[in-house]
Amino acid sequence: MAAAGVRGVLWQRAAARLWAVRAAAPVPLGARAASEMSKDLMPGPYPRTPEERAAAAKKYNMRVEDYEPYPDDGFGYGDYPKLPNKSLHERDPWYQWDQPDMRHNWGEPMHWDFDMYIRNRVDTSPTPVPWHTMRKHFLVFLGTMLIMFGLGEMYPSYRPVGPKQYPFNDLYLERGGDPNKEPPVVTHYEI
Amino acid sequence: MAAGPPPTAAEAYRPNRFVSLPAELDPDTYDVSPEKRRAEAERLAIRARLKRQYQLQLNNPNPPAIIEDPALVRWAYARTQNVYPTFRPTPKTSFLGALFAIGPIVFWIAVFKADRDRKEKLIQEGKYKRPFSVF
Repeated sequence: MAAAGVRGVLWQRAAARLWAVRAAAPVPLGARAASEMSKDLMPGPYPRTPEERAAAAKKYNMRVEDYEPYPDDGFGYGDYPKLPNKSLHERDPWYQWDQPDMRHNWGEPMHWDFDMYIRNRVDTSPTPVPWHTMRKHFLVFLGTMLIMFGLGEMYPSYRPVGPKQYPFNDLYLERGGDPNKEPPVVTHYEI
Repeated sequence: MAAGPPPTAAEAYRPNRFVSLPAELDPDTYDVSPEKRRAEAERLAIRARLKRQYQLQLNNPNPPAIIEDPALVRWAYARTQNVYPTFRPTPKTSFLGALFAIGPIVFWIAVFKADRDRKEKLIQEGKYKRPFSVF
């Protein structure tokens, strides 16, 4: 009885302490609970001075000459580096990557669209035929087929047809005609 | 006047947004200047340092529970939590925001209104053929 009471009091005290810390902290608790990285190792705003650029390049494990942030258009990229838009298909399959399925080394800066360029998705590797040649051939074929189908719709051409002729006096009984009455005689021919 | 020989496949190839240039056709591959070699050496040094850090953690007799990749953490942070602080309303972002957020709503309002008005007009004139009619 007393132990349960003490446990209850301890729980309430812990909750009260948590509330006080939460009110005091500028950042909600648990926002970066899973990572122990400090704020200066995380991506930040667009670098304005050369010192900020050098610091950002060092942060992302890149050479200062290689580091190129996205243009500062206010789109939300911050200081994230702009890497070449090449998919993972183009990376060497025989090199010993730290993560072979992602063809990615530990600590290597990842492309902004990394999840688009994985090997299950977009492939930007060079094609045997130039892309503009493939596009031209495809559009020529598609255009020709669409034009011919359009012409066929506008000017249909088929063998001459007449109305369909049914037997048994134009299906008199099947259409619900009275079996006791004489069906009207239907002739489809003229001699 | 002859047009000359047709362009070879190597000359005809052009990279664009969807396909990239193969290394064999890139003149940068055949550039052996000292600047390029120093740049490659520096990149190799960075890569080797990172490999060493990773291998030390991997082959540690008491390895940590998770070897977290700072590049992955930074990538996830940049795409989720760093977008709002670095966003800035500019003419371009405002225009794109209006186009993709308000545009479809206004478009579909207009389409549905026009369709309903056309159907109402047909019903008033008595010309509307009821689909799925029980009569």
